[in-house]
Amino acid sequence: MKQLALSFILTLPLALLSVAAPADQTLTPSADKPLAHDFELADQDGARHKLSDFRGKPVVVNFWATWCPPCRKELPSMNRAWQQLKDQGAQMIAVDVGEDEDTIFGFLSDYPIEFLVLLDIDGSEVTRWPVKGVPTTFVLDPEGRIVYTAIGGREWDDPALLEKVLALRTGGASVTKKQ
Amino acid sequence: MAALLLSSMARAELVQSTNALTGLNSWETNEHSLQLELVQRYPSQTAAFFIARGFPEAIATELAETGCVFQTIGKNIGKNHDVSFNLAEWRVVIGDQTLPLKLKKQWHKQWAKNAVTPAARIAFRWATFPTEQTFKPGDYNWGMITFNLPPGSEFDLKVVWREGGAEYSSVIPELQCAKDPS
Repeated sequence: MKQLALSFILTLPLALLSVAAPADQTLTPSADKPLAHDFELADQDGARHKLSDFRGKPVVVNFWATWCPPCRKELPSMNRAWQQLKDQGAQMIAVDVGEDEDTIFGFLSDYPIEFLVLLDIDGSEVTRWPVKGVPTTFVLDPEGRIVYTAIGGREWDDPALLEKVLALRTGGASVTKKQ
Repeated sequence: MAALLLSSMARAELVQSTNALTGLNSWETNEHSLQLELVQRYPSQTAAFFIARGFPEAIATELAETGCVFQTIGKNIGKNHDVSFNLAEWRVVIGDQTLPLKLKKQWHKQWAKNAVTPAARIAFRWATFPTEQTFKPGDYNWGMITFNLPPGSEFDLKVVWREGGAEYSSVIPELQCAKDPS
């Protein structure tokens, strides 16, 4: 049974990815733009980061977990999006829910991402956000208010999505695609 | 305002397929704005998943072998309306019996206070499909649903959801709880 289980652990997530319907590139606007809960969480190296430290720029906050197939599917596109966002005054944060440093460290050796990954190890912070399942992603304006929500994965390097994120900067702007 | 109740007279339009790699069956239905896909999980696969996330082997095995666990993918494929559902309204129909699903809160209640660690409970919470959820157009979610039947059971599933001020129901026939390959 252990051999069978190991075989499933290795092959099934990839097999399941193939059944996911392609994501529609929608961002749902928040009618009331509530102020996002301000968390303070550690990254993989133990350094602590407060969400409110990023006030003044649009922030994409993604709640995810390593075992979640659509989370893994969208991470590469988030990393590509980050290559375009990082020099244009926006921030991207992935908050892992309920897993420890060792799990994240091992996972990121297979899925290298360059933007900030924070750990909500005891799952206490995610419960203070309007999250029912992972992945759920919020786009915050420079004042820390939730402007858009996306439940389920997206292709985050889609210029249409990046345009919406960057338009939240004070004065707005268009996407400059890096070659 | 009372919601309209619209029941699909015909059975859901279904696509049933088998994954050549895993041997697992899946059923996909598209009705109005709801796209729902149910994918079998082998009991050993589910047990391994939860053991790896800190569950005691006995509890993970019981969950896997009594739960009839399906990976579920729900999506709002419409353009105009929210899609809302509550799993407490869905029903398993097996023979002449109509049964509720086993929901997250019932599993948590079943486990003795110290038998399952907080970390394992967190994994269970987020790996299982939300009991209640509203999808905006384009939203979707994944998660496990437990139908509380033994491996090999065959059943119909009555699905209930709301969109555009109306309530809809549909039946997905002849779902099968996976048995581990021998």
